[in-house]
Amino acid sequence: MNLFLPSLIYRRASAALLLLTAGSWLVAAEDFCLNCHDHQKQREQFLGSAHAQAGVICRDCHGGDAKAKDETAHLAADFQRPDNKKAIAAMCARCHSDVRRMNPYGLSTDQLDHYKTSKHGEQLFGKNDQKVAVCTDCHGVHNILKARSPQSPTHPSNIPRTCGHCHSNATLMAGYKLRSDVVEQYQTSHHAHLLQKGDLSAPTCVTCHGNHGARPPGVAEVSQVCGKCHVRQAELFGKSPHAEPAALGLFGGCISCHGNHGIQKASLDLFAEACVKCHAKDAKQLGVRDQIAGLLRQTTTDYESAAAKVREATRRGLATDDEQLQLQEAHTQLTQLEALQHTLAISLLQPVAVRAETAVKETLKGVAWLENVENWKRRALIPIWAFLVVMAGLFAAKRRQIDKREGK
Amino acid sequence: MNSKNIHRRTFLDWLLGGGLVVWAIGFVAPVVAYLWPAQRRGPGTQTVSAGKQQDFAEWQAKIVALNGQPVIVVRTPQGFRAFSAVCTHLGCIVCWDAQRHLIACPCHAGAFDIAGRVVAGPPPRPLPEFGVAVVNNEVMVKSA
Repeated sequence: MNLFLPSLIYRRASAALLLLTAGSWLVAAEDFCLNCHDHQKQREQFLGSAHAQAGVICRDCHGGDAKAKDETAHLAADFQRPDNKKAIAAMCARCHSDVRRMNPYGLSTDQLDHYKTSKHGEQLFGKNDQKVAVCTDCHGVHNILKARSPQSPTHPSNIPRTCGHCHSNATLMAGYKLRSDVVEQYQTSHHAHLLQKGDLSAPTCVTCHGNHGARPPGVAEVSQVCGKCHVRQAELFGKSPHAEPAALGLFGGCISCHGNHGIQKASLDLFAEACVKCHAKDAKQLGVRDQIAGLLRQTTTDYESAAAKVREATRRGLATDDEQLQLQEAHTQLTQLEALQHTLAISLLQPVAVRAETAVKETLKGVAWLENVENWKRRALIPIWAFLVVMAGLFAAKRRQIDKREGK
Repeated sequence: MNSKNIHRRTFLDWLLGGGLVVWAIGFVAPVVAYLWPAQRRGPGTQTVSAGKQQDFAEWQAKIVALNGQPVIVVRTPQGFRAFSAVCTHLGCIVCWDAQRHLIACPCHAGAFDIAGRVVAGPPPRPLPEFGVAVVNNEVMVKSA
């Protein structure tokens, strides 16, 4: 153990604290506004913000001349306290659309352009709707934090709550004829479960809808949106007979079977629920469904039964290395089969199912051989015990013989 | 009567002698096995041969089993590298994409570079690496 570690940590922590204090003092000293406008809460919020860390001061957003004694000069021509959402967007964009200013921070400068293409932006700039979300509604005002900060409302784990501020407000959503249970639905989804488990790459609202350019994907775009993460499934779906109507916007693609906000982990039950939505009276297509579902069900059942046998054999202490390898091969084929079903092509599914079946058979053959050896070993105990009993009998006979010889 | 007794006694001695020999073998065999030089290692640090060095062309790969787990061995211009062949996404066995010089997962299009890092698709973690050594022209992969 490094004995100098505690003192090293102490020194570094002291240095960091000093830097932070000095940073806050510098911002405060530069920002004459805070000499008079000493709103304790705002001051604290601002000093902890990403802007304060970057050296931004009140004047950078609000303008004005903080040193001027006279109020008219004080509220110079460029002073602004935005009283409408368009002005807020313009105020933020003054820096955030400036390539030179944003370059050091690696931030994109097309956020306002994106925003203008969003449903929020369309409402605000097209209809001057002051109820829609603008920069400060999602990012905060004086307390803006970097998105990677866990306290930030734009941190992935906080996104559903941030969007839910408006999108779970039934009164507000009713004005736009939008559902107000979408965030609630999302919280029950497989995506949300992953996020709750701490997987920050799990999809949130902005993954599918976009952030600054947030809008619902059109029917024809759904496959592209889901395909951003589910690459293989999207590629295979593109080869299916569903692809063309989906591209033409006649069919919802992925969400038609899997749903959208409340999306669940796909199970075989989906075949019974989803296909009939469009093909209820189509015997030919339902036949294809039954074939695919049957193939998947059979392969899954066989794989699970083989996996259970391998688990049981391993638990009994048998060396199942080779069988686990075969099982992994069966698992690979089964997982491929699950993705391949999106093509709806039996000719592509069949060979993979056969390969999975072969791997399952090999696994079971291996386990059976191991169990056979184990059984033989158990049976071998019978002659061993018999040998011990015979030996004990022989010793007893020998003792009797010796006793008799010695006349005892 | 006397000779009959002698025969019975001799037969009993043979049986006892034979039994004791079998008994002694049962005791001595594990001791000999223990003293004999080890032919294989335990599962903790098992080593497996992936074949002769000349069996691998440059940018060629092979999957071998080590401790019941598939391992992919690739020959690069800088030497041999070995990684777990189990995709870190859903556990499918990966394969070698010779055209792109990538380790590819056939299930969900995940891809790993020759350092095992994720370069495409959903895998959340890189592939764990194994040690490789060329001993007497034999490519040996070590588990730990």
